[in-house]
Amino acid sequence: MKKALIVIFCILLSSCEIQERIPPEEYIVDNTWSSVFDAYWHGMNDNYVFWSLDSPNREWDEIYDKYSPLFAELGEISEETREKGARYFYNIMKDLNDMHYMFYLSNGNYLIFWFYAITNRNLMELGYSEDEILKGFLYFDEFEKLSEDNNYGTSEMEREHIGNIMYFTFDLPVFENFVETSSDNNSTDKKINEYFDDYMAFSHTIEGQSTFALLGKTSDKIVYFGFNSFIFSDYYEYAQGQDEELKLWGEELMEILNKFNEWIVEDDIKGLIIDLRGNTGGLNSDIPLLWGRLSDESFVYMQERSKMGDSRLDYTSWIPIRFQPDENGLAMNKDVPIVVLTNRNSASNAEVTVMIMKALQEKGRNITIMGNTTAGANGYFIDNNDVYNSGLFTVEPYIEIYRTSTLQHVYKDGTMYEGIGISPDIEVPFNWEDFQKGEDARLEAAFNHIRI
Amino acid sequence: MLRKFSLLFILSFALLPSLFADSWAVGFNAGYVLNGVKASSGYREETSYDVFHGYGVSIPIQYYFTEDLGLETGLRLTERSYRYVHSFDGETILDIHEHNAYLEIPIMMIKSWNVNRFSFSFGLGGYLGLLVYKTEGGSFLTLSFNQDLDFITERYYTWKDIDTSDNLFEAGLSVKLSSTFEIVEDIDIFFETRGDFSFTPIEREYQENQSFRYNLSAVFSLGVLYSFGGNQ
Repeated sequence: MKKALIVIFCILLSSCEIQERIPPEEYIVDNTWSSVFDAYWHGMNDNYVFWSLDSPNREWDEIYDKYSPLFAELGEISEETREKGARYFYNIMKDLNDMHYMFYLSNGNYLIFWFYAITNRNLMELGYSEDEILKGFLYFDEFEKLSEDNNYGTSEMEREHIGNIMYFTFDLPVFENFVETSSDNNSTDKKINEYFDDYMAFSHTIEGQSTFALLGKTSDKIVYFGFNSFIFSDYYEYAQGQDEELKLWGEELMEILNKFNEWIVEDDIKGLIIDLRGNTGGLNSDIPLLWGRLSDESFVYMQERSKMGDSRLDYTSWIPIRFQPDENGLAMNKDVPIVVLTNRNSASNAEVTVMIMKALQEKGRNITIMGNTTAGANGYFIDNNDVYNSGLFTVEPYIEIYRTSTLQHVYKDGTMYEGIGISPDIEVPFNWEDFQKGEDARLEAAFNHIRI
Repeated sequence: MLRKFSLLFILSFALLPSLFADSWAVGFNAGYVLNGVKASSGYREETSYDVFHGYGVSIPIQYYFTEDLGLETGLRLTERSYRYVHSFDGETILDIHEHNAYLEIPIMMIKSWNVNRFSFSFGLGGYLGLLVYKTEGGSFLTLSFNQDLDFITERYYTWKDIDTSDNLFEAGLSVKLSSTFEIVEDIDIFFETRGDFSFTPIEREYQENQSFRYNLSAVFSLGVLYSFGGNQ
């Protein structure tokens, strides 16, 4: 009897098997598709954060069961097997919800396949076939053809961003580094003069990354502010730094930011237009710098959660994220109407901004989201998966998940917009033909909405 | 058929004590639960699991076949908690304690030794539990900033939804030692230490290659027992 009890006790305790994991790179044993797929599957398994959407049950295991033998059949990674291997990877990735997702597959010498979730989704929405899209992700010249194609090449995803808005709508020379203010402008025939009495425009490219910003105030005291990315904190650092040239650019952009914060709290302001069309997001630290004066009270506008273990559905609770009002207590008049312009490429912190606006709207503020549904890329990402034990990972020399979210975000009421986007209150269509002629229907609609 | 079987089942429980009963005891106890998890933090660096605090309350029911050998069952609520800490570059990113509370039915064999008004007992058995609520608290370094461009650490304590990833049932082994003192006739107070070793994970099995966590608890409690029946 005693022996039996001891045996039962040991069996029960040994049933508590603890799974020891190994990092994804250790799955690479040779130059085969099978090795690379194993590394990719396990790396995703441990690091991807949207399993609650993409594998609430055993979907990711089914992917392994289905594709493991298929990749094994392909054998070595070679030019002959490239298209087949890429197709399998494409089929695995094409339905992922994380709209930040960017994947590169290399054979050590050159890039053999890449995948951008947001581009894939946009092309799908425009009616391109999977074959056409896959070709674009396999060969650069095929992707160039897609970009120039009449359908994609004229879409808002490709064309409507603040650089083009400054160029086509306002006649500003965005192809060079410049800062222009209304007092510098001697030409009266520029279209920007039809819009604004006072303005500051900024265009600067550093290491291939262009920053565009335009701040203007109309004669009837409507403030317009558009920019292509949340990069103000970096320029704030440049302004404090030692590099003389960068310091100048930093100071110029800070002047625009400061002017924006001054204008919106003036007593006679009649409206505010925030243009986030084509704004792809950027630094989280910009949020309090840019929007701190929209309200003088703190409120929850979003919730955030992290992975809390290695299993796919191990998450923390949802943590409320609060709006940080200006520390000096300055805030714009609550009755001033605000219009936020968005399009299908307004992503990440542009969408976080929309969530702030929606939360303010629910508090009774006169705020309207106008244009088109946003990108649906709400999760924040940072470039190190050790910080939260999640996010992007690399398996040299084959796999680079260049971008993927580190944390999940939902709107304050728990609504998940990842992969879907936030719908505008008023939809306004985009037309490239008109836009090129300087007829910006969305911007006109925003001005009309405030003026009527 | 089912009705007959149920009747027989109930009758057997009602008759058994009267056939063999020496004594019964029923009581209440409450105490502190120190729980940790048997788990692996895998290849992640600066990540660890640690013990955390909880509580336990129970209504024990004891039935002694003889003067020193009995069975214990009852109903108990045990909050089993653990702490998950993850740092990066020396900075704490997540310091979270999760609390899983189970409504449990234990069943244990008890062997007692009586010395005057004191008695000491050893129990061995198991328990079955049902997850009734989850809470979570701690500190979370969010990716938000304040106006000085410093990260914001959010401290929180909240109810956590029970979802499809949670294992609703828990089963494990229990071993306990207790010392009892008779304060007046039929009424004892006792101090108990108990170890619970769960062999079901906190999570449902929802994936291959899953990292499971198993509760391991030490429970320290004080209680009171009222004895009745039998040949006292």
